[in-house]
Amino acid sequence: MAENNFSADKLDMLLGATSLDASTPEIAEGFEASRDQLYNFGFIDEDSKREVRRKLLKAVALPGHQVPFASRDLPIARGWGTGGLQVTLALVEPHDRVKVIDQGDDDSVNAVNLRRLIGRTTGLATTDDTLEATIIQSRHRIPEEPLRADQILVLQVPMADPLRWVEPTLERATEMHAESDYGPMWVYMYESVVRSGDMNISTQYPVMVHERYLMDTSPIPRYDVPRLDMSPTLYLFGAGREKRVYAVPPFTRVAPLEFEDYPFTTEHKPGQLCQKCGATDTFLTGFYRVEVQATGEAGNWVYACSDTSYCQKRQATRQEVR
Amino acid sequence: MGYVATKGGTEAILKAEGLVEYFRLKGGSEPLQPRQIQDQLRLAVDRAMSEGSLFAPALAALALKQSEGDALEASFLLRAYRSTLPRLAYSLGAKGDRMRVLRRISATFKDIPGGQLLGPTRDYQLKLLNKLLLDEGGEEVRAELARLEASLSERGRGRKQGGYFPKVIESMREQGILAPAQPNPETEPYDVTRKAITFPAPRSARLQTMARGDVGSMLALAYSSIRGYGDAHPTLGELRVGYLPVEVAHPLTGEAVEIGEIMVTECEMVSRVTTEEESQGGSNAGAESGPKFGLGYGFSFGHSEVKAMSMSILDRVISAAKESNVHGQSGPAAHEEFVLQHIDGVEASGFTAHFKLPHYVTFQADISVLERSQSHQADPAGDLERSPEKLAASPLRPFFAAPGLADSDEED
Amino acid sequence: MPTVGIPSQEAQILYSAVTFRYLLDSLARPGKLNRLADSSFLGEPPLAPTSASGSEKPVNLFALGAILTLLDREVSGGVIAAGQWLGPEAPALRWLGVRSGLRIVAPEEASFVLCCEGTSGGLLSRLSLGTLVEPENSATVLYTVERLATSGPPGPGDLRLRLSGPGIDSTQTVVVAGLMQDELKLIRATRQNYPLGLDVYLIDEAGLCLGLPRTTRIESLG
Repeated sequence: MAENNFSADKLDMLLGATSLDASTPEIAEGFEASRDQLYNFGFIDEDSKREVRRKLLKAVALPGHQVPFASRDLPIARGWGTGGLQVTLALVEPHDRVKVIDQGDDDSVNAVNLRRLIGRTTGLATTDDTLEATIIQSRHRIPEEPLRADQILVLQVPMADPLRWVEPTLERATEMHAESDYGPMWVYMYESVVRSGDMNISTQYPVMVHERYLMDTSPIPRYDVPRLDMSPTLYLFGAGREKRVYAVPPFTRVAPLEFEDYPFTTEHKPGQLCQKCGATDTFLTGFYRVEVQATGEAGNWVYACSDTSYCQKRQATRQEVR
Repeated sequence: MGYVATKGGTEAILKAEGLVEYFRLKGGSEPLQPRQIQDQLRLAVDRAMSEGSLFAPALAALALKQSEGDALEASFLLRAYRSTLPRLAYSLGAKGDRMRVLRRISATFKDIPGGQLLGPTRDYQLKLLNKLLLDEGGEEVRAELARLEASLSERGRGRKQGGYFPKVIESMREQGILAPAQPNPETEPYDVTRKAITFPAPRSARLQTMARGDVGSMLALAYSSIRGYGDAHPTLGELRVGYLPVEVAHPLTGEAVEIGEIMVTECEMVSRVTTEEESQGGSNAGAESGPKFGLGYGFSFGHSEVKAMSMSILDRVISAAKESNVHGQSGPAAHEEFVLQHIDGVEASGFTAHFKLPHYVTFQADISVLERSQSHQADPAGDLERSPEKLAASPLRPFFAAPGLADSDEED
Repeated sequence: MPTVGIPSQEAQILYSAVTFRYLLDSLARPGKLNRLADSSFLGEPPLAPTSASGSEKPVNLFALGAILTLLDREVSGGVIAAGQWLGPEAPALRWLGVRSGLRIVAPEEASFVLCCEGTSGGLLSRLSLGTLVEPENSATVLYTVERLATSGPPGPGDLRLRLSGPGIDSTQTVVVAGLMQDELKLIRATRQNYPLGLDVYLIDEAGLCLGLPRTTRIESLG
């Protein structure tokens, strides 16, 4: 063995500390978030915030339309939520409570990391309770608990333009949006039905917003798309690397592309069940539950709510009822 | 102050960050001094500055130390730092002919005004590993420096250039073989860090994006165009490396004041221009004073010839494609949007790396669509998924059908 | 409470954050009246000419604070008072210019316009409506008006408006005192070709704010 490589024992000692054990999250000690005075409130400077804010206002006035914005370099990698982060940091004011989730999970490492940055640069309280939050930044999910008028949901977007399925160049796609030239997208959907018996877009489902702009819903599952339609909540979308923001105001029509004989459906399966809390109407994802040595239970695949805080609430309620 | 509930994820992150530091130091060797990196790994420093879009050699050296030599990571650190700095002033336009030149060559003519100056270059070195470098000590290094200075000044005695040279392209313009400098339609250069780029892009936006671009991706695209995926047949008009003075306008008098010098690399490639008239086979009385060569421009902070040359080739190829209206047809390098969207190292690596983030929700959604296709393939006729009963049983809100293909656009 | 002097940077930053949230909420929920935060820390408002010729009055400080939140060196703007486009030496423009660095331009190029006393003197039709490719490049206009309410009988000269569109659950009714009927016609004319159009705020003397993005349909009720 090369002299610098770790022995097996050393590997266990050093690396064990970094393991992510998804099935049994421990509640570690909480810490007080205090604002790091070295940074501006909300980290980004006022000029940058102002530019994001101006663009957000225009985005709200043009539901579903992608508004270019400068998208400054941040200490977080492009593709890892810089757009959503800039939107959140431009929004936050001292009375907010911020929730950050990734795949519906507050404890996902990326959500934890973003929450750390937001907490350190604002001093704001953060929460994992959807009902308590005033701003929720999310990657790929809309929470199960219905959102209210006093809440804003910020979604992280990787690829902003819904026309990229049929037109990869932005120059041409921008013209198509300007001219409402969405025919090619309908053809694409039609062809996918012919080929595979259904529309084959799973997430980032294209929708028509306010009957004018075709919009990418971001990688939320189809399960979540109906939540955008005529909702009391404001939805803001941030694509940092692509440098676009867009918005769905409250009470705005959001219609998924569909055909009369092939209507839009979600992933819901009759009889589906969360094996942790018993919910039958949430978006479920599978994970592997490791063997439990104490009881000798074998490891197995389990389906559970992707919205972990909602799931935990339900579990707590069930226990109380017992 | 607020209370933040933490769970296992935070612990793992903090420990992982600790482990990175552990890996950096565990070898037990003497910690690197940033000064050493700045002096002896100057080309890595130059690359970090160029792609970090910030001329700051000491900070670049620190970034390289922090990132354990990862060039992209170092440039990322510099960009994020740059983002926090307030802008005190904007420099006046700098001109390459004001450079105090260290190296200056041209492939267009054997002799050029001022002559060819090889400068510090590895171009002619035999690429053999030098094991003598394994053991370099302080005394020998000092002796070696003295010896080199003596030998260099011996040959250089008698020259009185002060490092200034005219531009080769200027003489080409005087000869009437290079198209004159076009009047710039832009009053202010575009700043892609302040305003998102849109397409078609003004030339200053193109040049800025490329000047910050990742050398590897730009090299690949430039290489593709000169190998045949493009109409590039360039000749090196001039490559110069040296100290470029930076000037600002005095806040009170408005006069130009030099605030310092930066080391830069500048490259000008020339190639034949095919005008639209020529490409359509006709000759047009309006074509001004006949065919000429066109110019491609490349620039980099520090000493980076591959970067500047790749950039100038790409600039020429894109300009040519736009001028003759055939962009994209000869290969990806000629497609401005394709090039500019994919050469930013920080963006490209960030997005590529993001696939390490959890995608289990999208994956579950993909599985759902896959299962749907599988069941359809297995039994298209008996497909019961779409039975009215099944759809009615869905707990979610029904949708109204969107307009089908047959509907024409109706305005309100 | 002291009102003179340069506000601390921290106070300015927090005011901007809070004010932006109101502006965003007003535009996202047309018809909902938001009370803007107290802006007296900005000092004395500048004077501007009023419609009654020869006289001047202080510009609405809530509106000044709100528009200031969005202005800086990167944007252009202007002020309309007594139906006139004010020149750069006008106190209101000086006041905004010193605090933001905004570029003072002609109406056609202005991104942000503060329009006093509910009338643009017809200048509204010169403002940018954006382009099909960049509809977001249109102007944003903040009108100062006398009074906004969501209920109660309209006084003489008041407008009673029924609003519908994105952001509104069914319809919303508002009463506006201090917006000219002609001005309302002009506003409606600018939004006939969605997505082109400009976006409007009305801010009253008590600091109540109403947002009217171009997507809002505005009907006059009797």
